[in-house]
Amino acid sequence: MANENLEKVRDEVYGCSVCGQCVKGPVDPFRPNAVFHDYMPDRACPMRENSRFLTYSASGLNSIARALLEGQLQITEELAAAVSECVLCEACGTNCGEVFNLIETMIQKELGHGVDTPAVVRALRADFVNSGKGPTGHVEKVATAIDKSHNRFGRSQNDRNSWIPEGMNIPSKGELLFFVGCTASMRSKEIAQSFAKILKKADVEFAVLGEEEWCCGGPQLLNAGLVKQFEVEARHNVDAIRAAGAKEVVTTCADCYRTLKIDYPKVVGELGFSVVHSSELLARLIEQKKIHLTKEIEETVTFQDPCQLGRVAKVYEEPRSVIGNIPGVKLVEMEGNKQYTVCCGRYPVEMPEQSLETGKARIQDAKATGATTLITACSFCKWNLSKAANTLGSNIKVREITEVVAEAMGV
Amino acid sequence: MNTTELKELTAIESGAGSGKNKVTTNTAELKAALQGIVGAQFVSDDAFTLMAYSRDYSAMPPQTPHFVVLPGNAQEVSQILSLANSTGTSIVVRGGGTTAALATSNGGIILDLNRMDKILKIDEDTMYLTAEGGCSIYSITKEIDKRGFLLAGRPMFGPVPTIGAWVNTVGIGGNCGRYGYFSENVTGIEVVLANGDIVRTGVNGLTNCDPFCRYTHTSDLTGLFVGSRGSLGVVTEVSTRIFPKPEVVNFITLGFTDWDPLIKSAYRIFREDIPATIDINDDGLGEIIDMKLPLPLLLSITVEGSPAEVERKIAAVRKIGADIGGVDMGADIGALIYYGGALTAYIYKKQGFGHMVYADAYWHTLDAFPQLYKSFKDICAKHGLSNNCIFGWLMKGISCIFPIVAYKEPEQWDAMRKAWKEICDEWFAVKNVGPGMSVPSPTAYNLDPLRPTHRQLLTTLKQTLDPNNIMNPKVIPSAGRSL
Repeated sequence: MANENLEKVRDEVYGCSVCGQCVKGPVDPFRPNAVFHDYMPDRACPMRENSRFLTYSASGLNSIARALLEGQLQITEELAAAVSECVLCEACGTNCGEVFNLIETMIQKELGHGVDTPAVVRALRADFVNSGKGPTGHVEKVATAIDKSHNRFGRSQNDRNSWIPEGMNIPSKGELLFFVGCTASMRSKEIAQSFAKILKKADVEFAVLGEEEWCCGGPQLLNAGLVKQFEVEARHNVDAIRAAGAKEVVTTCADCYRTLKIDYPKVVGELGFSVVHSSELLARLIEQKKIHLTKEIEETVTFQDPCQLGRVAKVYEEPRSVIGNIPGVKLVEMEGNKQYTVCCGRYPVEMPEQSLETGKARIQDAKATGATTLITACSFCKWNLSKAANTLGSNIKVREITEVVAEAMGV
Repeated sequence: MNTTELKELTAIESGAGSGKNKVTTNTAELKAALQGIVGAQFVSDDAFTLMAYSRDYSAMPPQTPHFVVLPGNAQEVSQILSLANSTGTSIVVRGGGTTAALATSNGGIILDLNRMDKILKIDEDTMYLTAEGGCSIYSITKEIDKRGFLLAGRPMFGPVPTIGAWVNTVGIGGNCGRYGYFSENVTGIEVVLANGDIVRTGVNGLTNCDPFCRYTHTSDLTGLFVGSRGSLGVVTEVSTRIFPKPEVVNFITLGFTDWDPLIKSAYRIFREDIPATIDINDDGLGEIIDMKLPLPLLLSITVEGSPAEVERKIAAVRKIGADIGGVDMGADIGALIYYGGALTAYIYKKQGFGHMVYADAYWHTLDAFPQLYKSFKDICAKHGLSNNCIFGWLMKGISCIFPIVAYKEPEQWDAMRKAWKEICDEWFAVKNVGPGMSVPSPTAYNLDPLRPTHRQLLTTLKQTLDPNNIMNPKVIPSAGRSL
């Protein structure tokens, strides 16, 4: 059936009133107001900001989905390519649900939730795959690389441990397992290196899977509608993690975090281990006084909430707590933070042009705060925002939270 | 589509048999010409894009244009209109898409103004601003809030509407009790006519004046376009007065069992110059959020000013309630309506009640309220549409009322369609009740009840400004789409 997956989210599709709140944030009638005191960013949807057509918005996608369900539209490669522009930052869902957020806060009663357009997008893409119309372009290339090599760069899995600093021994089995992720393993190695050094300095024993760590599969496979391929990666990783004896898995990448914590259980059921983000573990270790931040860093910094860590997994305070414990650092907030964060662009390879434009706009937000350093907690955020800052010729430094903590620890 | 088909299409859209359409090109040529004006990336005829623009915030069936075009400035709009005029191609302008039953098009071009979203000037001393027609109310509100100002009014659909669309629909919203319609405070517009002329109104029509004042030594041409719903031109720029933010805003709701004391209270509240906003709601509002209200009819008043002023006004409302029979229900309901506004209605949908529509908007004198309300409730009951409520804004003694109905698609669509038409027909016949602008229904396109000379003047103006009826042709003189 052409719309097999879409049928499962029919209620979401028909739940859309085409009111447009998803494209012109925020949805509270006016902020600041009696409940919420911050200004909200005008930009909500990266693809809408890039293309300007309503087509490329939650509202437009729901109209398209409805037309498919009602037989007024057929699946084509062009349609599949259009839907692939969504980065699944989930800002639309937050905006839509914000109507209820405001009123619920005022009357102290739960009323409902916004339209889950990301679920509609995933369903559409899965149906496109089933129809042989997706994925396309760079998305297909990355997915193919993962399918063949189990990492997004298409490199040999022998390179999985190439990030490990010389002389550092990390076992392959242990109760705490560092799921490094493709990007920190093979591209932005400084993130993995910083985190490993922190753990070593804090006398925290941890393991890595090495070649047995496969791509998490979330952003590249599941989000592209390649459900079966995703399940292969998911089952392998969960089996490997269990075989390593891990009770807790920590990730530095917000996408890996979301995928392991939220998406894997939908495939394999009970994981048998917990999943934490590095910022959560760092906050815990600081509280346990296992991490000592001794070096002063005289910087005004701002924090980019990764969409998947913040808006989706609702981890807001731990990274701020970690940053707040660094001597000398002054944290200032960007317009659009925590659940209202604005996407970094997310897909520097899969959709380079849109991601770059989105990232550039976010760099401008960071600059507007007066910060000299933009800290984030995700490999993709760092990748994309660094690229955007370089393109702009901006002097703002883009750093991952583990790098800043490592510096403050003197490691 | 070939030229013949395009001719047929435009003939239908412009009023069959008018014979005034000059179609000189086919859609491929038209597309190429549009791309030449705005750039290929801002013209689309993809089937899925046309479908994305097939709905607006209404219960109207979807309809698709031939093209969606995103101009970047008034000059591009001018060229597009010249082209459309020469080919007899209809133009429907889309802003935020929240003006129900106005933002879709059956064929022709949808002109999406969202690229024209810049605030051009904020003059804090003269207290006015200028923004492009596609600039969202939220963007403007946020920027002037930072500077200690507010707009006259808060759109009922939240921040999404654009300032150009608000002029096109008059602009009703919160704070109307104090500032009136949004458009009353507009000091000038830039509008592109069907022939491509770019016109500036107000003192900005003079070569030496910025748009700081609406009135000069000639007729108020701004008013010609206010409420025209895109039928006379494309509003590409709006200048409007801004107002200092009040120190304090507070709320009080009076509850009633009957309309008569509620209406008497409203008259007195206005006479004593108390409100920034007065809302009327029935207990359908409470049912939406599962809130049991002790009294069925609510008059919620927003007051603003210095702390002492606000305290005095709240006390004055309490006294009016005590004198006439309204029960003080505190501040919370008023705050909920003020901040949540019409958005409360979204909850209908998520609670499984179905699609919610603002069935219409009508201006009326307050004494008409009981009859309108009874008619509305009776019609809903007759058609089994039990999820409904009424909402109204009061303004200087009159009201703008919105009958709200939630229905489930597809099973209740027929009932809704019949009820909608009956409400429109019955309300149209009530003394001192006129169709409004913010949520036009097909009835509101009906020009038949107009006095003949009024209708003639309107038609003459339309024919003068838009002889080929390319500008939102369903508004004038056509009676519009059928239900």
